[in-house]
Amino acid sequence: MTKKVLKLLFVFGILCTYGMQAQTTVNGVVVDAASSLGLPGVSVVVKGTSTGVTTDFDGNYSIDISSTESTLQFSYVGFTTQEIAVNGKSVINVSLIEDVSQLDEVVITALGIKRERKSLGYAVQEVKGEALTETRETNVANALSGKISGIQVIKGSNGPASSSKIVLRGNSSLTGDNQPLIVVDGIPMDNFTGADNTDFFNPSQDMGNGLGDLNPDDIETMTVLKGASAAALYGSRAGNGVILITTKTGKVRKGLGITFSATTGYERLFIKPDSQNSFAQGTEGIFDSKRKLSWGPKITGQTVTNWNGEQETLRAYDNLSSFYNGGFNQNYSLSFQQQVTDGTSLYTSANYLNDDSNIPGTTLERLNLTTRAVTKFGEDNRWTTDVKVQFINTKAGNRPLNGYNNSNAFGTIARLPVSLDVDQFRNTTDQFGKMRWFISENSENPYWSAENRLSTDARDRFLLNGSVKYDITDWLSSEVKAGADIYTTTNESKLYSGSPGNNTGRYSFGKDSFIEKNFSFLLMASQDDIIGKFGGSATLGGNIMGRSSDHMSGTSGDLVVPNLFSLNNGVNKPSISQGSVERRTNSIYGTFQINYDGFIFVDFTGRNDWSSTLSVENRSFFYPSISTSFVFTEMLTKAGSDLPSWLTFGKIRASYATVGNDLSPYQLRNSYYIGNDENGNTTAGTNNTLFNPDLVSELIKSKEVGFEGRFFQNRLGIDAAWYKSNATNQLIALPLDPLSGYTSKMVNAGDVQNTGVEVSINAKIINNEEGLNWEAGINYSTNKNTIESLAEDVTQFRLGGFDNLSVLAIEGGSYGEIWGTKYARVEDATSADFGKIILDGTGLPTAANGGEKFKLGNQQPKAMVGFTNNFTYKNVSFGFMFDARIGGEIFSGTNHALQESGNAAVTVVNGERADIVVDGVVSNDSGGYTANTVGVSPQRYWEAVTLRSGNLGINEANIYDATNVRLRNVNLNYTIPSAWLGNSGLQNVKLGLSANNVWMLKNNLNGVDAESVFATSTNATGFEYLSPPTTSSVFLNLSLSF
Amino acid sequence: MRKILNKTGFVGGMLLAFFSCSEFEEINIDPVAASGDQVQIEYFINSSIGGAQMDPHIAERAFVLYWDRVGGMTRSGGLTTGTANDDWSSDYYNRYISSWLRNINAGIKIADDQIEAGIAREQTPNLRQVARIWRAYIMSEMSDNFGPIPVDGFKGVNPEYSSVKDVYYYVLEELKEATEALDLEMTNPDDALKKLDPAYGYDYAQWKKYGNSLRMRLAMRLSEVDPSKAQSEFESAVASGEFIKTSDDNFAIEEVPGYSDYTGVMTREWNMMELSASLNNLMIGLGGIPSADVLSADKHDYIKPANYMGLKLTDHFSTKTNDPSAGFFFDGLHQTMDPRAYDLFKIPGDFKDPEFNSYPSWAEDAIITKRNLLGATDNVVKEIDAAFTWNAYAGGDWGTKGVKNKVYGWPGTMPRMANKYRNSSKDRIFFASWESYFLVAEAAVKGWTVPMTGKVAYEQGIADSFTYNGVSGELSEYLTSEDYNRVGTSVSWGHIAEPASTVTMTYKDGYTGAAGTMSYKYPENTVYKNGNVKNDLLTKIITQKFIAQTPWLPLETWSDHRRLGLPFFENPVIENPLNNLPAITQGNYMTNSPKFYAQRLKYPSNFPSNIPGGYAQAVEKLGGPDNVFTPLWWAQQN
Repeated sequence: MTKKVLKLLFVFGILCTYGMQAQTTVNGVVVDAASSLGLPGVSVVVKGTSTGVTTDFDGNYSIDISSTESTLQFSYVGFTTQEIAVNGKSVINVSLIEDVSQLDEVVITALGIKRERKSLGYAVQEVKGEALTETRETNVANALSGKISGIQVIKGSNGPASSSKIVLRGNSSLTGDNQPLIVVDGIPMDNFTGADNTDFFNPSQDMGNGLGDLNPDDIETMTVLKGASAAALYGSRAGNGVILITTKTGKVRKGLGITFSATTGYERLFIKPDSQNSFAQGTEGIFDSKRKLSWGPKITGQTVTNWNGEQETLRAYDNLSSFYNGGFNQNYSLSFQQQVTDGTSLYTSANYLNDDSNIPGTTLERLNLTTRAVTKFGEDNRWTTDVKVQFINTKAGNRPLNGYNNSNAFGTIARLPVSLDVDQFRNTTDQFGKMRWFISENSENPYWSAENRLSTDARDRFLLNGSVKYDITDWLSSEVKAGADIYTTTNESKLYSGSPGNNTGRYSFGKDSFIEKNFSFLLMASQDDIIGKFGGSATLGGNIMGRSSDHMSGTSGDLVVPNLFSLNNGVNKPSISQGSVERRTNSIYGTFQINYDGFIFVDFTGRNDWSSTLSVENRSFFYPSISTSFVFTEMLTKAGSDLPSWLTFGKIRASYATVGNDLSPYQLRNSYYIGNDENGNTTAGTNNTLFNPDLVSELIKSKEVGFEGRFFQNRLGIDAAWYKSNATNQLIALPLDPLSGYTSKMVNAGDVQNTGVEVSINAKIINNEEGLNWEAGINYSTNKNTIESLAEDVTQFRLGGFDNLSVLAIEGGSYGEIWGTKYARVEDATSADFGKIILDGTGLPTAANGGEKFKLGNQQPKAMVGFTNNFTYKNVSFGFMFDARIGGEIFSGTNHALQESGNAAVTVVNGERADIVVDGVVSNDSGGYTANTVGVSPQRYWEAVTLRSGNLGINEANIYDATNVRLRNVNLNYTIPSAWLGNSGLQNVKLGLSANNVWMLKNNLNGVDAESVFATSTNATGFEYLSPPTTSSVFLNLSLSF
Repeated sequence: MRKILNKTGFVGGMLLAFFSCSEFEEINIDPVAASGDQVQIEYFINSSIGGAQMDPHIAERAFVLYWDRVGGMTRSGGLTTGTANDDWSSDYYNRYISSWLRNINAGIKIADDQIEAGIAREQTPNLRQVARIWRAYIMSEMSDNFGPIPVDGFKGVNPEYSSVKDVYYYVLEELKEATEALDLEMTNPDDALKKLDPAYGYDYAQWKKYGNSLRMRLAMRLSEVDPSKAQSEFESAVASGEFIKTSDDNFAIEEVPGYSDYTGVMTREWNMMELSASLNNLMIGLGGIPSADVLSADKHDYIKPANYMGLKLTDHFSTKTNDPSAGFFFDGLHQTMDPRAYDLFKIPGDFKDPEFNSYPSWAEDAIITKRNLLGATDNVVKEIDAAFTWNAYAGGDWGTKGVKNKVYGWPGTMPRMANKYRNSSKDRIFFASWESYFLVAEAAVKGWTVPMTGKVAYEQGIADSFTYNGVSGELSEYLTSEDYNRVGTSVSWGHIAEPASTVTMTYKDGYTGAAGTMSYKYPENTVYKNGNVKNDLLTKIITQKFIAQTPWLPLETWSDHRRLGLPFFENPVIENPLNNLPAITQGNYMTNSPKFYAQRLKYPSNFPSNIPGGYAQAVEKLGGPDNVFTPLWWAQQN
């Protein structure tokens, strides 16, 4: 390791060819007027002389001048040059305005290093804070949907505190969550996602995702580093890409710099499963008030005796709409953003969110407090401190429960007989305190659950960072940074007495704490024109990461004294679970870049990690990357050629990188656990997973080439990338036969390959500064994920599913293939009946080969497309975005459940339930087939389809094309003309209207949103089962700046 | 410059020191995990026995919803109509029974390691034999449910699957060796150890008896497929005379209320635990004991005369089954009844009986006894008050008759299991003395060498069962009874006369009230001697064993039926075709076939995906497709 460090130091040595001079000095900072971010590499020249300097990474400069009467010229590619007379001033701060006819922009790259976009040899896409907040999404992850090519945001539908999963460039790991690393102001943030347990019958609650704790208003930019090359500096945690979040800092503002913003939102169901509304509760065409089925008589206004013994006129109800009767969201934000003194800028904000979702009883409250102060001081302002404290308090109540169980409210209501009005159960208990419901077994009144099956989880979270930076010379700076993500989550759940199965109630309580600390340093050197036209830069950094978490929870079991929620009030002694996990990673990393004349760039990076979770032999691992960028237009210009008028900018890039993942703690050695049984006697057991001391880190190898071009005076921009990544040596808990003594064993195995193409096109279709402007953008991506190999003698790996339906990774096939049973069909291609469904003698379909499993589809989309449009006219802006997922399949368990219960719209044809003569054939005795003539009742038919060959029926019947196209967002913003504000003290007044999930243009799941996947925390996203429906929302926003 | 370089170098050096990885080893040790030298075999034995006692989650699935139904003790449904539930099977296979086996194997391994290292305690070898006996039981339980399992598993690699034959040969040998190797002279050092055996407190003599009785049970399982092996193993096990002979010897584990491994297996309130038609048909009339002798005087008015079938209500009670009682509602109590019936199951509406179970406590299903039979337009055709009546119904699909019939599916209208078996107040019996005696009786009938006559064993088995159910007072009369039950079997050992093929019974037309007579036909149990024999010794033994094993050993009654086709199990009703039991049709429902009964559980669905090689091997060893209708090696074949 020492050798590597010395190598990097040697690089610094080469770069150290310039000395320092001292005369009268002017200094200041040059910022981008639009973003207030410092601009590095701005040329600052004393006009009429050859004296000049360039700004550093943060836009700071310091120039020695001989005369206080001089004029300074600030120029930077892509920005309008400014000239400012010194007039005796010693500090001159400059805001450069982007020249629309110019090209270059600065982006934040790994380790927070700002770089000119043109110099990057890999794909980076940035989203500005305003673009994130205009959709008013509670969870900032959702705001990324459609805005970045190559990203798939799988949005959970479990209410306002639901998790959303972000997948960049496809799934690379067979296990784990396949999500990018989130880094906030240089400090990683834990983005835990979804439910711990995704069991089909009793999944645990979706606990949201860590990123959802952030207040979108605090975000200045989100930068998505998609490939391994971009992310390589983050080493072992960046295998799935990195999302860098930069929060706001203080900046020069007119007026006080205080902004108050209030948002109110209204939420309702987006789409509902297609339901029949003409056949009543019952079975065999006969009304039955105690059935959970809608196979009863046709509703003709007849009178029946209902579940409560009362006479009632039959009619159909829209129970989903009356249960999910609208949610209300309020969000108040107060922020202060100002350059308070010459040296100090301050950003503070307070944000309060309260979401009373459309799921009865489900709530989310979130409080965010942030302060970030940046201070420059010392000689020539060479010192900078940047300190941020973010405090987040979230409290979620009654997160919905999914799966095939009685506590799944959506499941209950979706399958509720259509002639039964759920509204009559709003009064949840009878005079004896018992739950009111129409049947007594295996079912729960969802209103009762909302009041009596209560759970809360509250989290206090701190995101902290502080850094000190010192500019040693104008080309060398150093930075030391420390930061932490600290949170404690308290969970409590209370079940009140009166439900089926429990007379006294139940109680559980738990606390989880997490802390991740990071300490790092960074040395940065940069200099152009070192030797001739060669320039270069280098960085050297190191990081110590420590992460630990503790878990403690207790469950009372059934209570003795009803509704006294204390762990010691259980019939049995409380059961306690405890756990503690700790890990450390030490890292050294560096980059080295050389460029020639500002148009050819070559970057090398290297990182070495030492992880506490691997054995001494395998603990240290090194990941290098190389990337290059060639700006051919600049080369042509510099060579004196004229560019064709339509071509403004052109660049090609290429990169190769390796990164990897290490292991979870405690997975090297096998051990036992000691317990205590109900009689107080000692028990012991073994681990479920067979550990392996020889595990090494995963290795993801990634290649990428790309093209970036701008045309017609920057009016049209195209960015395209092709990539290929191979995730090898994956750390997989390979399933073992449970009769081996373990249910899985840890191995290094597999090669999962993702290849894909991403294209972003941006166009300023109408560009009229004084009038109408129209910008449009398309993000397109396609990814193909193939399984090159799995472990030795293993050819398939189950990602999820239930019963006969499995989502698999198949060697030689692809990730996320959906396998299950299919209809028996005539397979003989020469037969006249080829392809027809073979029915049994009673006219009903059967499963092929006695229930053998076949490939039925693949969960991977063929392509993802986002199409955004923004119109501005003077003070009005209007934008909308279409979001399309094209291709891929999904198994819809909701459709299955509705068919089985007789609620699905397909169970009624033209308002009737006439016998169905299935279009199929019946085998005759002579080995051939005859057309079916036997009619069956719809109840028989749908029972056969939904019950034969397994609990999910003949799976093929409910495989759907997951293609969906939706108008994801529409927003309208109006800024009141400043002239109207006069001397009111108001600087700015904005009104905004935003609507999400506005219109489903295409969807194939009979009213079930293909986005409402079973669980975000599994990789089997091609499986959907009675998750709450997705919602659409409308937000009104008023923002006042003083 | 040099200064800068020096400074940088210095900082770098500092960092290197700072970056030390020396604590990494320590950090990566799980603070709550135990190492191999911190555990003892008895901890694992305790875990394994406790686990197999079944917490309510798995007990509901495996014991109640699978075994109780398919074993014919409680009302038919689910698996009896061919529907296995992958979730239940997966839980049982992946999470429960494999962990009981895993723990017992881990314990044996710990003991082996200690013995090899010379650090074993004096009692360790005996504990090891106990563990082997217990392991043999769990392996038999698992194999009896699924079929092929590995005999050489738990080595950290995917195991080879063995055929059911090999599994049985293996466990029989294990039981032989382990019972012989037990050192009965050994005394345990302290009470602390005894607490870690919830069955026998490490009384090694008792373990030996259990081992021998278990060997008798498993040997008898092979009686049809491998008679010589069955005989030699059985004779070897029984020869010592050290088997479970009295209730003190029973392998029984005390239940504990609440929710834990030790909670009762039948405690979930939504399980209605209604009397099955199969058991009811066995008990009606069996033993000739008048209900009036057993029931309190207040109930005597409800007792109906002998040879009465009840109300004929065939518009509402389907007859598309070979249940001989089908089509009737019995509007009172039966004249004579096996006296254990009233201990095990409680009369609907008899709320004064402290053992009347009114689960679910949150609903009134159990205490509402008046229900209606409806007409085509939802009109009430007849109201039926099922209080003090005694009925049990076949499962299956009752079609429109079932929809219009609000009586037959209503918990308040049927005898349901008594409170004491449902509220964690008993011991869960894994092996009782009566089973030893019925096994000996069966062996005697087969002519094997056993230490007593078949009659003695048979009558002792009944006696032990009567004692358990608290009806010993009726025993002597019962043992001599030559009355036939509804399937044509009587109690008396000496009475093997077959019943007449029909018998005249009276009934009332339920719709008109008109009295009538009918010719009652005993069901033809075509899976036992072509349905021609209803009252031979084997039928008597299995009938008595079936009733005695209720409610604790439904897995054994299922196995006996799979092995022998005894006792008579009615076919489910098929008003509509059964989606998961297509073998029964409108044309064949009056006959029986092994194809009409679930024979095993399907392996869990993740097995073929996760371990395709092992799965292929298991299915090959099974010798038929992996579905619920493939008979196990020792069972009657299709």
